[in-house]
Amino acid sequence: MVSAVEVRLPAPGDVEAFAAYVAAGGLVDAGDWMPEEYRAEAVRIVSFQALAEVIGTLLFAEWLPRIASVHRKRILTAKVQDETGHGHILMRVAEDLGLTREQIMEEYLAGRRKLLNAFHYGFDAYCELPIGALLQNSAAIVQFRSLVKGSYLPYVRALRKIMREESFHFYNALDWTHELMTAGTPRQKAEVEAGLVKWWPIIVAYFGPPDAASVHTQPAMRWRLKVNTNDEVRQAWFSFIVPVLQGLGLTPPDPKLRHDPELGRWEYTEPDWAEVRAVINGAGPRSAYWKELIRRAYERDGWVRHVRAAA
Amino acid sequence: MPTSGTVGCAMSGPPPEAGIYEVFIRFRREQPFQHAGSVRAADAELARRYAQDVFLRRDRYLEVWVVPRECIVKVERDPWLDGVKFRQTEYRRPSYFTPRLRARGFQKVPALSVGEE
Repeated sequence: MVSAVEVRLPAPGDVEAFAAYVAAGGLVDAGDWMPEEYRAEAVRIVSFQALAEVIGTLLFAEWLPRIASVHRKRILTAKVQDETGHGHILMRVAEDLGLTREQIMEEYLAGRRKLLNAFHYGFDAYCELPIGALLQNSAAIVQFRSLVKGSYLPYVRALRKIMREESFHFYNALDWTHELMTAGTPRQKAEVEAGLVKWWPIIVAYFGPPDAASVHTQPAMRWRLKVNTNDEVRQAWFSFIVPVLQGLGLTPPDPKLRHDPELGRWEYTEPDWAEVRAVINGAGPRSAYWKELIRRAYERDGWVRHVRAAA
Repeated sequence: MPTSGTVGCAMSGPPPEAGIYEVFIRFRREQPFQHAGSVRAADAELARRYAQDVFLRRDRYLEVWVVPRECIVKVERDPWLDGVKFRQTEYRRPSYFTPRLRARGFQKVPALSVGEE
């Protein structure tokens, strides 16, 4: 890590010096001068995750009344609280970059803001929750480990807290899946396996389009808001999750998946990117449903925002 | 009532200790601000200079915040959070799940290097 004591902070207005500063490992804080391109890219990344944190709670909140044990219900309640907190933290980071939380929610409701592919789906069976959560949480942890090396400090600080909590969510998902795979009924195990088949391609796509097709990778890496490409993070996730699944007695549902020791990378079946794009644009099985829930909540609770604005 | 020399925060609470400024220093960009101590000064400009003289002469620093003490909003410790909630949310720590998994035969629990709280 390069200290800014050694790396001179760029003079306001000097885009080239700023680019050199972040490229050399320099860190940027809220209130520092930054080029408009940097601000736009930072707020794009932060607000994308902020919205995902909020919508992501709905998948689990829906099941809370039906969780079969008080123990898991308490843990899952804590997880939903955590994700809501992550949404708040990230929206505050976005606000410092010039985008309000109302804009984030209203752009989403108006169809002008994209939502992470995974949250266009829902859990269709009880035993799908732990395996779906396991894939989601592991993907998030691997991705955040990379993003936390980025140049925008308010986001880095937010990610450090988020990662601590994601690790607890991950361990719970692992423990819950393992419980079902070792002590579950044949039907429960079959639901876990069906959940893996359903969520695997969704999470392979979670990391975004391949590097050659990604329009956001280049600017994000130029400003060191990201330090790894989508494909690099996806590869790191394969290396992380495959042994975990093996330990659970589960097989990744991709016949092409294998680690090529010569190339040092995983071969896998590319997701159907046309379908992923369609899902992100609102064609997912729950896209309209979650949006309608948010629309109703946003209208129903609007008086809170109005009271706060008037105070 | 803000006295001369403070920026005058409109805060409710105990009477302001006018003229006391808390000093926070950040030595490296990736680190948070650390509370270094406080100075007494007649105004913000003098507080800035005193902070420099008292705390910053020997160290290479990056940024300093000098904050009127009465502008700091304290959040009291919540005994409920300390006691009941902490004891009952042991599952928030990885150390809770690892023995459960091992006891059930899952040996290779991945270590997530995000630290325990």
